[in-house]
Amino acid sequence: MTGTRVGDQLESAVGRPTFDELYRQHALTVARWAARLGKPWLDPEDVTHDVFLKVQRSLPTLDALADAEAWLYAITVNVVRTRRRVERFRRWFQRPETEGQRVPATSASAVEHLERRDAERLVLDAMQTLSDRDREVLVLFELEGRSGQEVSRLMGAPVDRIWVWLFRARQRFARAVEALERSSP
Amino acid sequence: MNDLPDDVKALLKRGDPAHDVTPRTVARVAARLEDEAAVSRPSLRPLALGLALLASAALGSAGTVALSRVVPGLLGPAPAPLPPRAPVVADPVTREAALLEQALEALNQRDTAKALSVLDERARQFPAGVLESEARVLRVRVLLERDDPGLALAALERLPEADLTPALRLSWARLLASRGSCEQAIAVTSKLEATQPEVVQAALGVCAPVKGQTP
Repeated sequence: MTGTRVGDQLESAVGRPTFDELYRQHALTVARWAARLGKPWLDPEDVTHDVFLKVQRSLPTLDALADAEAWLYAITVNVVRTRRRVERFRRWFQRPETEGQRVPATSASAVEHLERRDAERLVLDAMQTLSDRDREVLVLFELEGRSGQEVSRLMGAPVDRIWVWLFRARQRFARAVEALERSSP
Repeated sequence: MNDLPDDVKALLKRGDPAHDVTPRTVARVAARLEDEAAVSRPSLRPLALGLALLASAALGSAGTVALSRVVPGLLGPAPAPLPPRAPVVADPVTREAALLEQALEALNQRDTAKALSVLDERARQFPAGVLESEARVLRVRVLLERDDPGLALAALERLPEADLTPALRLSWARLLASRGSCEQAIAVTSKLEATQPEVVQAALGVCAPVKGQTP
């Protein structure tokens, strides 16, 4: 997409993926992480854009990239946390600068769309009661269906610790959903 | 390992926040990145560099950061690669936000001396930080909490119009009214008069115009 052809060939030759390869293989995954970890505060497109801007700058300085997915995940988490922190302040001062979430283009019927939006709102409300770590582990396991080993690799923590985090995250999430459902009219 | 109850699991799948992320989403991002990369093509680089230097001089690091976002790699070599799980504190915006959080926490605990000292520290470290506006408002709130009307009034007068929330306007009006500056107090709350007349009357106190009379 933005690399030079000669540069791309050289990068491939030294065992480092090109920017285009990374984008083709992982952009959709990054965008999903951005939505699952950043909503409702952040626009997944903006987060994905910032992640790949960082990739664009950092990639040429890397000698090799052993685990591209884990590297992209670390960047995504950092971008989400940084942007969310700023966003929280902006909202606290009641001067929101980001537009609301886009209405998704969907072929589903209006009723299905509304039901899904309600479900999403409930999921996001419940997720907002979780810590960043709980939210991450829940997203990777429950929404992405990843194995303990994979989550351990992405989150950079031993797998036995991941199981403990998952156990607690599930409990907290289920409790939050129950409380929200009880309090809704 | 306890599992999620089936209904919660189903809810999570149904309400997946990424349900509207599609290949079109990443295509739009790709187009944005392409557009931005086009700005840094060789023929435009001298112009972009000049703009960057001007912005840097006028706006400090905020201008530099803003332009380096648009023109990747313009302002020198690329930064060091992010290692997996790079510490969050390494990001300047996060560090700035962390300082504001500390100040806010101190204010919530009514430790105004600490809040001011943290705000001073933020101003020293980030003279043109991206949270400048939030820092200004927070400083006013600390001064109001500190019951230091002179400094609070001075800080309020320096606030740009965009930073003046209704709550700050009311506090400002209260301060002015307590000093007998009724005309100014009424002017400060004029924007709220139509929507919150009772609250404005209460804030103005003795300065509140009697109904039927022109202030």
